[in-house]
Amino acid sequence: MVDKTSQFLTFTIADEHFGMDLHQTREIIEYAGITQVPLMPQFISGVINLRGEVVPVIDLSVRLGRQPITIHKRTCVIVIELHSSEQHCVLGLLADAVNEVIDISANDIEDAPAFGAKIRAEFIQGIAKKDDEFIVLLDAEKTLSPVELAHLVEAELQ
Amino acid sequence: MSLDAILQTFFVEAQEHLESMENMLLKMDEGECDDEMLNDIFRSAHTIKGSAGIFGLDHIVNFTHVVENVLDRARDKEIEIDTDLINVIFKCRDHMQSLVGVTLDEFNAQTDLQKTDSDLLTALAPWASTENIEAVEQTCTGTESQPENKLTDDGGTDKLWHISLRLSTDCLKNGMDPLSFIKFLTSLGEIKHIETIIDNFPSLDNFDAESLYFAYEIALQSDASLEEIENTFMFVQDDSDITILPPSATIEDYLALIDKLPEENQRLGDILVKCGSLARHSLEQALASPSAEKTVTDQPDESPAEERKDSDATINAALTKQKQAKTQAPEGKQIRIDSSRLDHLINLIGELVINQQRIELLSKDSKNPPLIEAVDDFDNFTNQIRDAALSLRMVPIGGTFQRFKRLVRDTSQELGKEVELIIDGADTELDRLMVEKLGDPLTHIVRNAMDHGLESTEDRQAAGKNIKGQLKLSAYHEGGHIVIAISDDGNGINKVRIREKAIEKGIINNDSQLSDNELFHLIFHPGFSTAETVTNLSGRGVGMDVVKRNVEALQGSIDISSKTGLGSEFKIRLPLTLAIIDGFHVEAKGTHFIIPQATIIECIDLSNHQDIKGRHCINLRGDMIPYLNMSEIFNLAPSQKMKAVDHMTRHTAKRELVIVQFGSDVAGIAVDRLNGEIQTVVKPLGPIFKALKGIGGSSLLGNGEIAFILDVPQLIELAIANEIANKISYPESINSPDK
Repeated sequence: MVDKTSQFLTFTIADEHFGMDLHQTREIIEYAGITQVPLMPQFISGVINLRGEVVPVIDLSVRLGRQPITIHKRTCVIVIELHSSEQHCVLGLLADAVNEVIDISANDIEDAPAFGAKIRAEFIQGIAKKDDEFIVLLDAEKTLSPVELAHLVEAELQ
Repeated sequence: MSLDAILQTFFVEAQEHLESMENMLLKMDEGECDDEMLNDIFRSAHTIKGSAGIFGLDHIVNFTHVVENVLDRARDKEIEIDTDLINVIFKCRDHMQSLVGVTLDEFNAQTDLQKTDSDLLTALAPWASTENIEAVEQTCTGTESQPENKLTDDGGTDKLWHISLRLSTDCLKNGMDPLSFIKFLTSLGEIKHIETIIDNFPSLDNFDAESLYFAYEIALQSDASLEEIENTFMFVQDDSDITILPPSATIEDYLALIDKLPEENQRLGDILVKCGSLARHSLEQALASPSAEKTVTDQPDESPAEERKDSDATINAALTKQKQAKTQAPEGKQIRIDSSRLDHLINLIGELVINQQRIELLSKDSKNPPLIEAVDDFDNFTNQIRDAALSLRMVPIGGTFQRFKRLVRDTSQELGKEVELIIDGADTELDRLMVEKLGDPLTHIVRNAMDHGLESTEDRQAAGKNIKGQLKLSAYHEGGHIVIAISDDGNGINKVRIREKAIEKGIINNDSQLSDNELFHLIFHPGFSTAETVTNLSGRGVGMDVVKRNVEALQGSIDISSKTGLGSEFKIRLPLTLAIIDGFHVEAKGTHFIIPQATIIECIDLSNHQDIKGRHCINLRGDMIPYLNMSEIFNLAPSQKMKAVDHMTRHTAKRELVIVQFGSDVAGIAVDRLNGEIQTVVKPLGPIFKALKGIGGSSLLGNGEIAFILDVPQLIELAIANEIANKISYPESINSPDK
């Protein structure tokens, strides 16, 4: 493996640490209420008005097969931008806290374990270790693929 | 301009030429045929070939060349124009269209395109003279393309043009290779002499490999017109200095050129002499007495330039025409705008409308009369700006209808039916976005009408009808909507057949009672087709469901009416625009909704009306109106915030009913609160929410909150689907697999 360093934004959901490629994140905003969209599955929290743009917000916790996130004073929304899908797509993710931006060298990233992470293996880009804590690096394109999310919504509506 | 932008211009222009070719061919097919039309078709093909040549798109050049030659022979009356030839030319035009869409590399990689290419060339062979096919490289010279000049010019081939090329230094960066121009000039005539001027070449330190430092003086012997030669440089003329002196140019013109150019006069003169454009002695005379320039030209002179002085009136006329065209251009009535810039403007105006609403809210709160008044004026102008901007995006539907002429022609040939297409209301304007998305649904309906609707010639004769079937495309405004109607005078929709088929497919029950309208709408069911035989065109049962989906995606609806023996009509009803709508703001359990104003008939207070026998129906002035509950259908629970507000203001459970109409149906939507009329900018909800029925988009309210825009037809459908699913008496409906 080539020694290449990438930057990751790390955040916490229910005491678990996650990381996401910094290039995919656009901004972090305070959680200031959300408009629920009728009939949506649980992982779609709703939509927010981001300076005139209507942006869907995903409860990442539900998406990863965990309990819905509990909203509290410090809840924030990480706005990400996905480009690889046929059209560019802006999404918000709910997180309990955003921690920092860290440099992680490719050598320090281990492959996702085949099982045990309790997250679908394809969602995980790798696992990094920082200060004795494991950070699950998520593959945003796979975890939040608009096509797949749309299929899930369709299934829910039927 | 970057190369991409220039290529884009090429594509747009090629497209226009292909369209005009198609129109001309259609006219010729209808029997009108005159030389002017042939000339037009020929010119279109020629221009496409020419521009393609500049870009080195050899696949287009090679193919079009043969087509052009056939057209040229037709123009010279060497071959006769008959239906067969028109058919082949039609196919060639289509093939050119596919060729324009691909790069040379793509063409070389796609064997099916190459096959069509060679098939069509073979098909053209009977009309093309053999040498033309073999000698593709001997591209058309001026003699072929401009026979008019041939007539006026006795001298024939000794017409010597002088071209002085001072291309911009950025030429190469923009992707234009001067060599390709020079190469192209050889297709117009013969280059007698070319002089490369390297005076601008910088010292090695300053040398930039991507800049062009060469200038050229070219003597071209050609019968081409000034316009044709000028067109060669179409893509660089903006930032380059190009002088084209016609064979009729006077020595004065040459002197002016010499003066204009930065190089030293004597040297330039020598170059001109070398090019053969100027005779040595007349040059010397002229340069020696610069003060007497004017008189020089009057002296009798043996120089070729002088001889040709008044030899060619046509070219001088062309020159004047060209000058006129140039001076007119900046004050022309039309400009071409990139549609994305227009979309950007409309988006910005959308934001302006939202902001204006926020200001309006604030001004009302302020209770400051002058401010409120000022904001009202502002409101007025914002609306005007909005309307003006939206009208920029409106295009007449005629262009779309025009395309169907071709479709109808081809389809009628294939089916062996005689069909006359009538177009009405081609000037009706609608949003460009809609026009783009209407093509497919219209195509399906038109094909279906021709295949299933119109009877065969024999059947029509037997029924005592005109053997020529009639298909009518019309567009008109109707109450805030645009209606596009496709009607035929065929046999009408066979209700019995639809019913049988629907029962057979398990879509409806054996004893289902359906109104005609419901019955007709069954044809939009996925996988439904009543055609006895599957033809090439239709009958596979895909199509009509797609039609419905596409129209609904445009916030439109489809109505069908049909009379046995007399024909059927499909009416597509569309909103005027997709970007900004007039809506009615309502609330249900704290969620904001916007109902498109065009669908609303009235609002009533539901608490004053009794449900009929416990059903969701009320009696409104004698009519039974079914209604749906917004909070039930969307499963809305009051939000936390709403509960708090409720607690504070002690909302009574007052219920409002909005009566809406879609097509010919009327229904009610029960909501908690009416908030009044509002202008909203439609924000699409994005791909994730595509499957969500009943909500067509979202919109931002003046206070920044998000409201959902209702899609009324879908909402009603959703209500019907829910009702069916909830009733055990329709087990088939639950079992019938939807997809």
